[in-house]
This record gives sequence, C-alpha cells and structure tokens, in this order.
Amino acid sequence: MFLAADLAVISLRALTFVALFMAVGTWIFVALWERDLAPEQAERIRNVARAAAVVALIVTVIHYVLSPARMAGSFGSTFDPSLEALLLQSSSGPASIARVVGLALLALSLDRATKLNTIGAGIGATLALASFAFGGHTSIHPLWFVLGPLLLVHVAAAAFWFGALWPLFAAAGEGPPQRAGLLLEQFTRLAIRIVPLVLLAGVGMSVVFVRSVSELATPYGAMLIAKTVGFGGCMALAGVNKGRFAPAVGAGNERATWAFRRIVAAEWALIVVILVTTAVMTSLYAPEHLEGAFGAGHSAEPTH
Amino acid sequence: MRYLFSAVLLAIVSTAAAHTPLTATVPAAKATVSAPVKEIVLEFGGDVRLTAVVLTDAQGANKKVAAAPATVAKKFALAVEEDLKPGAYTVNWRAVGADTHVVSGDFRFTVAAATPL
Repeated sequence: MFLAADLAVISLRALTFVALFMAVGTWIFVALWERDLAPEQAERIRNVARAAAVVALIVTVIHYVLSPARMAGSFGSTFDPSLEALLLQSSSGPASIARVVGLALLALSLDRATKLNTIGAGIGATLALASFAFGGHTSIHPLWFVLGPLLLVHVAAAAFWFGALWPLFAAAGEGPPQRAGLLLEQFTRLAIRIVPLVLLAGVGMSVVFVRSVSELATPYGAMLIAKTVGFGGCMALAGVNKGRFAPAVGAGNERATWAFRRIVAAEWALIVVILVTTAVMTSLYAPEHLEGAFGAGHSAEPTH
Repeated sequence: MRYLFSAVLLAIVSTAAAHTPLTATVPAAKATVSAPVKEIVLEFGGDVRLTAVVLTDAQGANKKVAAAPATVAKKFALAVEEDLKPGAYTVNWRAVGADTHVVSGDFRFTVAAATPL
C-alpha cells in the first residue's frame, strides 16, 4: 500500500541530495583552487557544478510538486489544494523555496569566474545548504537553535568533501603530475581540518536526536549507525590515498595514479550510498522522542 | 536477486516509523466484532492531518470509507459507506505531522458472522 508514491518521492529526494552536494561541493573546489587548475580544467569543473545545480533544481521542484502524493500515498492527491497548502505552510515550504532560490543562483553564477559571480554562487550555495536546516526534524525540534548550526556545518563539510572527489579524480589523470600533486597536497591540508567536522557535527546532532543507547536499536538509530560506519569506510579509503598513493601521483607514478583514482571513485560511490541512506532515513523514520504533532497555533478543527 | 531487492525495498518503505503514533482505533486492532461496523476511528498521540484511510477485505477489494477531512486533529471518525460482510479486514492509514513527516501503518480486524437467534 502507498508503495509507488513513496518510492518515487523518496528516490527524488535522494537524487536531490546527491546533485545538490555535488553542485555545492564542486563549486567550493573550483572557488578555492581555480588558480591551481588549468583554465580548461576549471571550466570543465564549473560546468559540472552548474549541471549538477540544474539537475538538483529541477528534481527539487518535481519532488515538491509530488510531495502531496506521498503525503496521501497516491498520485491522485498530487494537486490536492489542502495538502499543497499544508506543505507550503509547514517548514518544508520555506526550506524548498530557499533550496530553489539557492540552486538557481548557483547555476546562474557558474558561467564564468568573476567577483560578482563568486559572491552570487556563495550566497546560492549557502542558501542551498541552509535549506536542510530550515525544514525536517531539525526545524520542529525544541533545540533547533543548536541543531541548525550543527547541521549547516555537517552538510557544508560533507559537500566540501564529496564535491572535491570528481575534480581530484580528473586532475590526477591529466596535465603535469607536479600540478596534480600540488593540488592534492593543498586539498589534503584543508581536508584534514574540515572533513572531521562531518563526524563532530553529526555526533553533536545525534546526541540531541538520540537520547539513549536503546534508541540506537530503532530503525532511525540503526540507519544512523550505518551512516557512521559508511563515514568510517570513507575515512579509511581517504587515509590510504593520503598516505600511500597521493605522494606518488605527484611523482608521476602511473600505477599509483590508477589506484588513487579508483579509490577516489570508491569514496564517491560510498558517499552517494550515505546520502541515499540519509534521504531514506529522514523520510521514513524519526527520532523516538521527537514530537511531530501540530502545535497549538495550528487550526485543529473538530472532525466530528 | 531482484526479488530480494524488491523485498528489502518493500520492508523499508512499508514501515514508516511514527512521529505521532496511532494510540487507539475502533474497531481495535486484531479485534473480532459482531456488531455492524459503521465507522473507523483513529486516535493519535497528537494533532495530525489524516491523509488516507483504505479499508480492504481479505481478498484485497477496497471498501468505501468516507474521505479523511482536510483538517488537523487528534481523533478522526470516518463512516464506512458499505456493509461489511463477515471476514477479515485491513485498514491502511497515512497521516502527516507538523514537519510534513509522513507516518503510516495498518491494523486488522474481523467481522464475525451473526449468530442466529
């Protein structure tokens, strides 16, 4: 029962996550290291970020339009005015608007590197990331003012990591090895400070959302553990690349470059799995103690 | 492999965990009732918007139930618009909380055959 609408809307949500993180993260990479890239490399990375932003924008809109279908479990309710109104008045309304505006701004600002475009893309990327904190479980939690900033740090650091993988994959396979080596060195220097924030902010949020060890035995807790294990796997892969293959890429070792690129691809795939898990987790499950009822301010008319 | 994948998806999607749980129903879950069932009552732990109620018999045929009202409430009573013959019935329901988080579930009851006087 209700399976088709669930699968469609949750799949769209997962695709939004992947495309949005790709768009924002790839833009962060090109904004940070444009000067260290060959002009055609920078152009290609910017185009990938823009394409991802456009995909995320389109999928966000389709997801929003189809959300009433999932709310009622039937595509026949897609244009139900009362469900559309409920959606718009809920935290999902402002969150979706912020996401659409942010992604549109990002896509429009990625045509070429100018100061104005950098500012526009920065605002767009911030809005797109902040949209995660505007809606969902964070927005209705009594400690939203703690969770909101933590979530923003969590998603920004994750986007930084995820979005850097494709540019690193591409950079390692083309151009002078010295340039790729320098880029990897600079990225690694920043990544070892930023990537742990994904875990730190995630643990901070988990402490607020999951208040007891027994709650880890719930579906929500189990998926949280799965995400943490996935993160650990990504860290292990990144550690192998940092310690073993990245220095050899700069020295022009072809076998090491081949291995480096395969590991980067594996990291990318693992993060996609984590993002899809997050989309499923936050769509289907909620923290045990989180009260999701409408507040007193909402018009609760008697039904009979 | 395909069947395994489908089964896992079905298991994940069909068990949406409750934000605002269903606390009581009439008829009660797993109950056997002898009186005619004229309405389905669902009571939640807090105010929700009930978005769907589907009543099916043991063969999976839908039975007519009044549409869920477009209001937010804790308790909903929906008229059953056709006579329920003796047999097992399943009520699939779906509701939405304040953050538009969807909660859903199902419960079963049995209508007993009337005993002759």
